[in-house]
Amino acid sequence: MRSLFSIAFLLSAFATFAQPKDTLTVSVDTVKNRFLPTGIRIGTDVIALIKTQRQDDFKGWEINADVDFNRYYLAVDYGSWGRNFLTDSATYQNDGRYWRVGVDVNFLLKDVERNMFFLGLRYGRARYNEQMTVISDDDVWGANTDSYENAAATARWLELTTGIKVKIYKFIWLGYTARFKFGLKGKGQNEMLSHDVPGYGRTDKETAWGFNYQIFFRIPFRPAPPLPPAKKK
Amino acid sequence: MVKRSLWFLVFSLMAVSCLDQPDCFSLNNNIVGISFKRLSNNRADTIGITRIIADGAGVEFVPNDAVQTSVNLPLNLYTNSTTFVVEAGGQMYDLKLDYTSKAQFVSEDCGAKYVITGLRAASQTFDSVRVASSTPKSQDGPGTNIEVFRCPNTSRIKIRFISQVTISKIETGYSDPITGSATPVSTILVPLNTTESQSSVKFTFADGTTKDLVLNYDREFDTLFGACGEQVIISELTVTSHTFTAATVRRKAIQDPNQTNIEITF
Repeated sequence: MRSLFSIAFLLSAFATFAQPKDTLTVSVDTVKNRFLPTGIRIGTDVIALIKTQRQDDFKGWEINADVDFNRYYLAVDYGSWGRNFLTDSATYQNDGRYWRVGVDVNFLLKDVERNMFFLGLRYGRARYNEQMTVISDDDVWGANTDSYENAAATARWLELTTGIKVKIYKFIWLGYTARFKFGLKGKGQNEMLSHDVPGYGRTDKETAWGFNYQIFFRIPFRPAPPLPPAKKK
Repeated sequence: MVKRSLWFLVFSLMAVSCLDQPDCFSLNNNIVGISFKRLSNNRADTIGITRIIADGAGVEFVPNDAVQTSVNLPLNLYTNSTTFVVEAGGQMYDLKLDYTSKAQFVSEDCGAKYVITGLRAASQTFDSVRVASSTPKSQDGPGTNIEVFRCPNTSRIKIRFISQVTISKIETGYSDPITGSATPVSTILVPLNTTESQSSVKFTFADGTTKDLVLNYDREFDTLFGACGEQVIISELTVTSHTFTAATVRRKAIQDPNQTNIEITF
């Protein structure tokens, strides 16, 4: 499965870079005010909304926003995430809020539609509480039922991100963000070990993958500066 | 437009492909591997464990083999401490292990597991104990968490009989009598009197005959290992008198593991 993911990811990256050649040769000033933001994009993660509707064990939402500074984008995510698992031998619930902040770097500098293929870095933090009841039956130590709770647990982590954002119609943009999450550190896990951290996911491995499919609405501040001229061959 | 839509479709499928589930086999890591070693050479020591009682009389383990160099024991998942009482060689040894046991939800298929970390020997009555790894194992198998060291025995000689004999009893007057078995043996370990420079040993054999052996030796006291304290060092072992056909000194000092000190022709 991971191999499939990696191959498909690389194919998409190459496909994204295969842009039509720009033949514009007019000399224009592209330097002035090029680092002033031209607009803010505000969106939401569609997958989280669908999962909340379709899955009994998940409820959550996520708001995403970014502001452009030429090819650099300040990206902020804020969300809510709750899991609820009920099995014969254990019940687990968690609920919390999280945010991420970071920078994306756009590699499609000459796209006339200002579409994005980006790589980025995020710093994430979550604050959550979780409860678990375990009904154990060990061969040696017998049966045991116990309840645990971590109130006000916190976690932080880093993410490498990549994805695309494509203008669909006027102010409407669609995009996806693939997230490679690592470096998870937690506090407040006093009674039990966390199974799931809002915004991060399962904690039983050193790294985690995340995926957002997002719809954005862009609010422009000012006209975008002209594109840089194409290099002559 | 079609090309863009295909991208989103491909990446939606990839998101689903990333979901993998953990293996439910051997989730708890509560198996502690205990190895028995000699302090003198850090090599494996053989110990004859009769039984091991854990947390009072609640749980008892009886090893399958008569002698062991290592044993795997389960820690109590539901507490942060387990005390083992090891009965070996007619003696009882305590080993109290402290640790942190925390539950963690795994998946809807697997339920929860217990994760044990920070293993340490809180108290013990062995000669010496060292924690080799503070994270226990998830299943039986090789791997050592606790090393139990035995101090060298510096007052016990090894006697070898040229031909096998069946010994009923060995009496010394300074230690508890050693009861023999119906099985013929060619070697036997006999303690010396560490308070004097002479030991008298009386052998009673299966046919009722008795033989005497009187040994003389020099004694010194020295601290070989800090964990063992001051120990007697025996040297210049000699046979003063005996009622066997022959009794010859082969090694004048005591070693652990033992090598033949006295060779006897019945």
